[in-house]
Amino acid sequence: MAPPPLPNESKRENGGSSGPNTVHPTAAAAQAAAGAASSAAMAGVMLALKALKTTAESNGGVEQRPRRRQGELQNRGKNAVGEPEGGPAAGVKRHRKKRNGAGQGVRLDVPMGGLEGPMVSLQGGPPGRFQSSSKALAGLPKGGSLEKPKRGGGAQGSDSGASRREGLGLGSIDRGEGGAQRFDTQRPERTDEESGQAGSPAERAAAPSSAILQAPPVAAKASSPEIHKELGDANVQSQRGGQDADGVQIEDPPGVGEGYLGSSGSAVEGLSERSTSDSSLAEARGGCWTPGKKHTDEDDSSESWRKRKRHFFILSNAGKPIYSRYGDEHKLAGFSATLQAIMSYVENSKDTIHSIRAGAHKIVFMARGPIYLVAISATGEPESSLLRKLDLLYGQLISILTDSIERTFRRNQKFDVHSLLGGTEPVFASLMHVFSWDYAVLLRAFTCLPLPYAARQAAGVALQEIASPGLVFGLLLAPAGKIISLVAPRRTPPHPDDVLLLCNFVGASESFRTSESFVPLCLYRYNPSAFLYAYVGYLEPEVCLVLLTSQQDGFFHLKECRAHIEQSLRITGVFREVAAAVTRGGLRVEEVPSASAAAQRRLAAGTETGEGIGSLPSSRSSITASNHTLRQKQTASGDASTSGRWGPGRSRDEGLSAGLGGPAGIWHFLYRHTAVDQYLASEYSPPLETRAAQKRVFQTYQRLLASMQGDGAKSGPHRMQYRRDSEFVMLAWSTSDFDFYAVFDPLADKDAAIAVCNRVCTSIRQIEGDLFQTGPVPLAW
Amino acid sequence: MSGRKRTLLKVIILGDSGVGKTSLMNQYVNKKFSNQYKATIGADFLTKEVQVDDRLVTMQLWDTAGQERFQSLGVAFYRGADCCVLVYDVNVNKTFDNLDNWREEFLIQASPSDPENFPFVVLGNKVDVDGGNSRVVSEKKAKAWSASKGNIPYFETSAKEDYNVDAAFQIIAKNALKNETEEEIYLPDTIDVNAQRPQKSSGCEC
Repeated sequence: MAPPPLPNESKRENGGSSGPNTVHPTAAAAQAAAGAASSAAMAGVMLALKALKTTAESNGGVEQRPRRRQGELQNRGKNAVGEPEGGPAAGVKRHRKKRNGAGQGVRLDVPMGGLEGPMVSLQGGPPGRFQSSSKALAGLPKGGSLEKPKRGGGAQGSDSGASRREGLGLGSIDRGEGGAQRFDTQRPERTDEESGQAGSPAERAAAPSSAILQAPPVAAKASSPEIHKELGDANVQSQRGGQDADGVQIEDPPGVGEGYLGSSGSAVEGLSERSTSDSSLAEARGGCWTPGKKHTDEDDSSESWRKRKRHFFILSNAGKPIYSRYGDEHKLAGFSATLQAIMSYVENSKDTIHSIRAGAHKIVFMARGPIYLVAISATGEPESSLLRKLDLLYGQLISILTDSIERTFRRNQKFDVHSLLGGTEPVFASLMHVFSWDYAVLLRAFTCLPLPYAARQAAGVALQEIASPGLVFGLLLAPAGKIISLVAPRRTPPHPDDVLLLCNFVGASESFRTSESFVPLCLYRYNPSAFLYAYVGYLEPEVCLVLLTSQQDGFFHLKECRAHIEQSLRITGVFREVAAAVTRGGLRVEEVPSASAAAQRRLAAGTETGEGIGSLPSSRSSITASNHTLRQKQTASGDASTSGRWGPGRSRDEGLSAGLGGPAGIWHFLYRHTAVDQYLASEYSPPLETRAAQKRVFQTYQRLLASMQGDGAKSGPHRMQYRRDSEFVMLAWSTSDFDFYAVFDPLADKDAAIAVCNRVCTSIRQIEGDLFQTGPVPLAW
Repeated sequence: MSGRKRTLLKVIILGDSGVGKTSLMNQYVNKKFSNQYKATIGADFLTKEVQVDDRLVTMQLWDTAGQERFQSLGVAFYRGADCCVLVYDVNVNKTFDNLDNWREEFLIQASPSDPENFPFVVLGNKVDVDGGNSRVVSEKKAKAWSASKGNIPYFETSAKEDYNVDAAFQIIAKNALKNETEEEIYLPDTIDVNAQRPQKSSGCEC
């Protein structure tokens, strides 16, 4: 039950750090052991497949379902931020496999008791209703007319077709001729949104905003030393509202929480926060998140289990449980069997089940060979994002086992994978955390620790200097999965998902912190069939080195490389820079330059030179000094002077004064650099200092991104969206160079908001050398 | 190697409708019995944890519907089963005669790697009815059939009286486990040392 096979030299040495140390996740395995053996975990889960079957067979025509007319849709309420409409309705959506021709999709709307009771039945109940989750963020063009679905036919469960309703208490069946796409027609809230498929932003936007929406000018990097300095200063000055509330647990309000203990602090709790032993560090970061699986005593008969907002399951296609986010896998064997039965039943008719809606719950299925993955969510998140998470979950499983697990299943269908995963609970638990907090999941990109350009270059050089045959990637990691430097052969750039899963694996495993390790690990985007070997060692408490090699016996060589890298980093002062950068944190919305500041900055450019290696401030002393002045400034006046300087406060010309946050009411932003597959997220700051608020922001982005990509296949990708609900104003902007997403105060003024976005994008470009790993990463290995 | 290894066993229960499959399960798992007959629709799933020797075993019980119209469940249901329990009613000849069909159907659908040695257990249920006076299938006959099919263990049970139910399921677990330990060897033949430069350098990067 040793999870992945381990190379020879990987005997654990407790003595010191000299010997290779292999992480053996088995250590924690016992933890999951069941409570009393006698307590028969039991849940009668009845499956009325007959109902499903009969209906499917007799389903001939196109179902007409009750649905709202467009006029109504346009006038819908303002505050539905994509919360799906609940009710007793349930929909089972089935997609014909494409190769089966016909291209017809079947959707069964089956009423269902939901997950509220111990009995999940696909039978009985009131008639189903059209799946009308109000995708508030769905990008509908201005004027509210629904875009035609791209595929032909286009009946889409609308008014064209005869109605047929089955007996058996079943709901209705919808067979859209154009395929099984769902078509949400709810008109989102306000009409002041813009979206378009193509064309320049200027063409689409209304007069006042059109000019602003042009791509930001790319300013010369050297032109704004002052900004850099100021930016860094202010970073330190405001040291994160979240951290001010250290140790405070914030309960998630109903409807938001997923059962986490609240913890303020940075969005992604990474390396340093996963330490329970290293409590000082954990406290310093304000993390209350503890590693390991939670609620293992639950099963599907527990009230608490059924109330969890988002479940993830992995099972074999024989119905044997492999993983469950909550509860004990063995006790959930009955539930797992039910899931398998549902999937296999549809599979039997050469079909694939994609999703079921049951009241507020959405159940999403994914089959990867003999592995079935299921997500059950009541968080209202889009199906596409659940699928994305299932894919990553599968990737994590493969990273531990490789896809040769499929061969094992071909030989032995009874195979019990669960037993192989002993000790990996923290990895999956951490992944679940990542799912709720890490923007890498949404953006398919990784993020770098903001670091002076020269420091990052120096780190890259240190990694490149080592020569080792078979070396595949070299990675220097800062806490929270932020990358200091990543080098790889040009021919095989690392996939962001691999980076995400690797960071998660490394960060979740406590044993890496204490000693050097050499573990087999598979990168599923790189090569799902083979193990690579990861050398993992912490050079500093906040700097983790990961070297991936294809050579099973590479440990001792990589150990030498480590020494070399460590020395090189120390000489070039990279550790110091990293420590400063970690303290400093990322960009903050309060520091977005105001319009006047931006103008003055341009004037000031060239009169001041950057300190340290790069343009971000690089020494603590200078930071502290200006920190002081900034604090003074802040206390002096609520409407702090913004004359020519970055910093807190909002100039009067921004037009909005309510609430906190940055100019024009900007609360948070994400910037994705397309060319390098990297993103940048601003730090959370008031009013987003609570865990609950941060989670709402995450979920808002999640829906925003899904709608930009045309969730539900209702329309293609969009270039720009501006929308407003009761909580936020959201702005999304996609160009060929970058994607930008921001949330604002709900009362933000549109023109001001767009102007601020432009400024943010411009200023990010000016210091992108510090924020991203942009330089070439040649690897001479 | 943590303290105790937990094993999961998938157990399929087959037999004609009305022979008492669900009642047996209910008696075994919940210690409950109801005289009322309610046809199983599709399948029911129950789990029960038992101790077999020194091992903790979770039995995942698949109670299938006996009616023919549900038989289309087929492969999906039988896939990866560790043990198959065949149930008949000692008071109804037909249910015994059908055991052959059930067994064959299972072997075809599940296609276990070693059909000869796949663990079956036969249960003759409802021995309590009329004090045994309405019985039509003799124990001898049933035992002979079981023996002829590769020495399948045979039990006479009564779900109503809770007679022999635990004992039968204990054997079910034990036999399934025996079979499992022989087969379950994880093959760590996954180490591809030639991972030098795997397939893709361009192409499906996303």
